[in-house]
Amino acid sequence: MDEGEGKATASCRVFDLELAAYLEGEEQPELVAHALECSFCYSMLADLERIRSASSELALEEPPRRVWTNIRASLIAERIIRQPEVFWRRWLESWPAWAGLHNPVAVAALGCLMVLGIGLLRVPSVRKSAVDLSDVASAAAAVGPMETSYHAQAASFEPSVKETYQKSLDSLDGEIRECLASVRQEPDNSLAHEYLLAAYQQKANVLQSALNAEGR
Amino acid sequence: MLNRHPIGKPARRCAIRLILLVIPVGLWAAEEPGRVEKSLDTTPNPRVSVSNLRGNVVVKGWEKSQVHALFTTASSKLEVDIEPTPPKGQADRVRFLTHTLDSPANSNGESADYSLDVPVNSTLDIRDPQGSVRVEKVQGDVHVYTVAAPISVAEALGHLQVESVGGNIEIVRASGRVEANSVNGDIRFTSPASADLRGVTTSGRIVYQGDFVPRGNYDLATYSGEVDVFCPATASFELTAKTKGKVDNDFRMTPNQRHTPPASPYYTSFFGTYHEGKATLEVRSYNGAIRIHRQP
Repeated sequence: MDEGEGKATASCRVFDLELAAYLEGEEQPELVAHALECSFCYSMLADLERIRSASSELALEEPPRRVWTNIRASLIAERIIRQPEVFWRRWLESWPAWAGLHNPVAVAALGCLMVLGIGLLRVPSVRKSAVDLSDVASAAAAVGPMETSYHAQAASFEPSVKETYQKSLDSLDGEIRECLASVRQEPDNSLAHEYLLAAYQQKANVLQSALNAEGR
Repeated sequence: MLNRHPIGKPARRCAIRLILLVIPVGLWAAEEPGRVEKSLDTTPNPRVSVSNLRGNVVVKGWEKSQVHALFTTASSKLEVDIEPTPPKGQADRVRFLTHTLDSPANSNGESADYSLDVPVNSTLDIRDPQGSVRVEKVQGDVHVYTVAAPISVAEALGHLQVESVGGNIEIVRASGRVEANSVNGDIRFTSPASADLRGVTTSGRIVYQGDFVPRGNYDLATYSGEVDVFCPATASFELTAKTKGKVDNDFRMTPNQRHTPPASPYYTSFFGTYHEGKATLEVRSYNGAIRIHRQP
């Protein structure tokens, strides 16, 4: 950006794009050359260099627990993540006070009776093999924030670009739904599991590409 | 590390710089409205990148150590910046950047068409979200990305990485490693000479037409589309095919000599070796049919 002009040049845009790589140690002679000619980019680079230099001297400390709690609370408040509800707490709270289930002793007693009752009444059944969906859950968790960012930015996309991205995301969501249903019903269906993970990966790629492109 | 220099430059110096920057661009653009031609001397293997918005991009490899560029822009609201690095002498890096003077959301179908001749050993990085891309006879690594438009690459020798969200992909006579990926587009490989080829699409169809390189690995996967492989009777490959749909295979194959996994009740698996099984072919479709065609 040239001083006093207030409008980014193409070199400034290239500077912005390559700044992260430069700060990570990649050689970018043209970036440095541009910074020497552009006071705005020079100032920004100098500030970032100072921050990097100062931060490298700081000791790494684990932030206090309340920091994570506050971040989590903010994310929940902004509906970026949801607070998982504890089933037993919700169930107990749904009972009226007269039932005495807020009393831990009463709950423990009732619990013992239920366990016993279930043990006595249980009929032999074919045990379904447990399905390990932890990798799927991780993949879904990784895609979630990207999807939130995408929806926030998609309004500024050119309509035809947005339509193409949306169509592809719809296809991938369809694939995810179908494969997820198959994996739940058929835990040893390796093809469905493989496709499910691939669909999440592909969805992450599409979202990343859309976010990088900013609708271009 | 940067040398510090005064930040508060006089406004006059800035104005002069701005004029110096703008005048050459203006003169260049004034050659002929909408059409610009330019040649740049380069090293024999420069890195050439194109970032376009909409319009066709055609890149061809040639024997000269020079990039010759011809642009046609259909609107005065579009600008094309050329940035050779270093700015003088033989460039080892050339960037072409199309940008609109309006916001992307307000651009009204303005397009820029590129026709580039580049040194045959160039490395290419092309991004053309809403335009088609065609690359021919380039021996360096090639990366192409589009959102909605088709991509065609012919006679590439280097690592080929082709991605489109919704566009079709066609790759002809590629020799290096090939990775083609689309979500809603079809993928077609014609006469590949690659020993490492991978094509993945979600709803598109995959067509592979040609022979396999001995010890080559070929991986074709679609979710709801179909896969058609056309290969000669002289081919030698080991096939693994999986789908919930149907598998049609024209080749009379022998059971796999390697480990054959047990059959699954949820999908059809097909394992077999044809001739010596020199190449490995893995074909998957979740819902679509897989057909392996024998050609005379």
